[in-house]
Amino acid sequence: MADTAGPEPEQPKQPKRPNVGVFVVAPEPADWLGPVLEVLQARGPVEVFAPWVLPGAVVRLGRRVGFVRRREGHDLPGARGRGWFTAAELLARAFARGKTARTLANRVHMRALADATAALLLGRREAGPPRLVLAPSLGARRSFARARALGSTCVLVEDMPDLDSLVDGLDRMARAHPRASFLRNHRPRARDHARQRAERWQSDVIAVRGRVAWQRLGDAKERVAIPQEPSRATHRSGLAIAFAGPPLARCGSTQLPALLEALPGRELRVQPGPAAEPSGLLEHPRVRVDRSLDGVGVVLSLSPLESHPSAVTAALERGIPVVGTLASTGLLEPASVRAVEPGDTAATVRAIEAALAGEGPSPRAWLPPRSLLEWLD
Amino acid sequence: MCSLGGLESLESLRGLVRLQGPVRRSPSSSGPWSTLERADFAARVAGLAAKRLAGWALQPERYPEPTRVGADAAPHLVAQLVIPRRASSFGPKLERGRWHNLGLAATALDGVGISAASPFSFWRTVGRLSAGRGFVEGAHFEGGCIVPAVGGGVCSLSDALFDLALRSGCTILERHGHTLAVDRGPKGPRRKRVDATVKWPYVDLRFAPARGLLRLSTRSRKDGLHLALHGDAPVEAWPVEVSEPQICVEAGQRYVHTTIRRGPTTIGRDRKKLIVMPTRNCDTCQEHSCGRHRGA
Repeated sequence: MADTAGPEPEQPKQPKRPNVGVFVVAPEPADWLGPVLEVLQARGPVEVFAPWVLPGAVVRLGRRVGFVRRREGHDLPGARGRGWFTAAELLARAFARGKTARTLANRVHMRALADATAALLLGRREAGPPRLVLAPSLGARRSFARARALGSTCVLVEDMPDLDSLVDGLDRMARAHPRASFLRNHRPRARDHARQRAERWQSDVIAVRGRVAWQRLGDAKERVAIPQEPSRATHRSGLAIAFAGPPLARCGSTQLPALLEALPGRELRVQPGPAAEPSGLLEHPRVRVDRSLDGVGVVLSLSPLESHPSAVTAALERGIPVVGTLASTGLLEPASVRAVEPGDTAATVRAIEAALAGEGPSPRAWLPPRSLLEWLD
Repeated sequence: MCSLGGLESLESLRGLVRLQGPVRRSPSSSGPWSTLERADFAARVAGLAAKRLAGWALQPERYPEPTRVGADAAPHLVAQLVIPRRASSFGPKLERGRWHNLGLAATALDGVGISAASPFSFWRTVGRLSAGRGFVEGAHFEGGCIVPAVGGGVCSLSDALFDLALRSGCTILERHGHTLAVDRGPKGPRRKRVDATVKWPYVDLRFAPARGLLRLSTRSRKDGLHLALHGDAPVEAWPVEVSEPQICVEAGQRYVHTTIRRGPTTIGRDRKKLIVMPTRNCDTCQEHSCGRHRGA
């Protein structure tokens, strides 16, 4: 049959929809979510993709921000989230079998999965492409690829340690402690390193939460700081010492016996992260695993690796002095930290005694040259 | 990936990857392909890709996952070079895309350790150059035109890596030359340089040192992309030589022949079709029926 229809009339071009609002990818609960959402909420519509908490994939911020605020920093992720997410996380932990490397790998996989899902949602957003897409480290590559195609500005939130620095530090420590299998074996995959670097390349702005990351990133990209809670400084001196962070618990097992010996009469509270119980230390009569900071006189953060233990944030809020390495206390103003070199037990003991005697300042938050708030304005 | 995928590619591809079985006819000598020939070509390419991907999964000792090593493990500089950032004739959009793709691909290379037990593979390290992974349209050389293609421009990186591998004395396990060379008129063919083309996933660049460990490092700076190979022991740089281009005419088509030598060893012999410097690109050319235009 002859084709009589002729050429189809040209469809009029759809006018390009303007980029409005902010899209936040939150693959897991994080301490930056509350302050960041508060800042963004005041500046227009915000949508959050948080598979661990939301009934739908994406909902308006207003109903959920309170829930996010309540969850931040408390207990383990997923504990009060949706049933399927809790089940998935428990399954992942069972697979990890207490190994930190596997726990990290699971976390990376979870972020990658959330990233891929968020990228799909970005393209189907009813309100049109967002003006700003905010995603965390190791969970941003595909979202940013989609966002750039849509003409959105990409903000990367560096809420995980820099994997290159982490591994370099582990290499150094493994040489110093060749019998510690954790130091030899805890390595992310090369593709995770690549993913983290690629996200930095794709982003327009990088938000960091400590001065270590600020200095390391240099000025190749625009940097802003994640908003932090100010210090309330309500500290009263206590008798206990809190020892914070999963890598610290492992690395500190070489330094802690010497510290305990040098500080008779002091109790040590260890705050391990998930899947990093310091089993060798628990037999000591003055060591207790406890997340509470009540009655704590000093928080120790002695990791030579860049880390952000939640106990340091809590110490900042309560005004408890912090003794630590500059790498692991990057959230705090350097002048307010009693800084010690990694592995220097004598200097650490002196700093602890000075802190317990009430000498020196309380911890203060590190204030960067430019915050996310200023950048948004 | 510069010269593959065009209408004259099957002949070139046959030489590159040793296609098995007869080719129906030479497409370059008899005009555009029929639908059957296109399907035949697509099936062969899919077969090669599947074979390589299966090799990755089933032969991990031959195609190992890349590993990262620290800078302390390889302190001695072995070879370095810069891919300069300069204005090109591709047009600003394609040049921006090319530079974005180069930088993004280079992020996967930084810190990669290379040893005899863990040879370097371009595709195992960089991964697929898809839009979903952040790659954008860059300058891609196809059928005499500069056209936009996702991941376009990454050949500069494979060229540079091949150069570094040669100068550091690595054993070249897999390398494919480009199939086209540009005739720049009185200046003759392009300057003498080594090159290596790549196409996901079966046209790869793979190399490994005979002994010891090498570490690849990349840095993006204002003047360009800096690449370097460091070793765990000092290594003397090897002299690499590319012979003068020999131009010959075969069946009415000009070809340029070159030989790459490292010391007394011949690394490869290239035969490239010589074409005139393309002046067309999708920004200036109004021809949309060629099939290459994708709304640049």
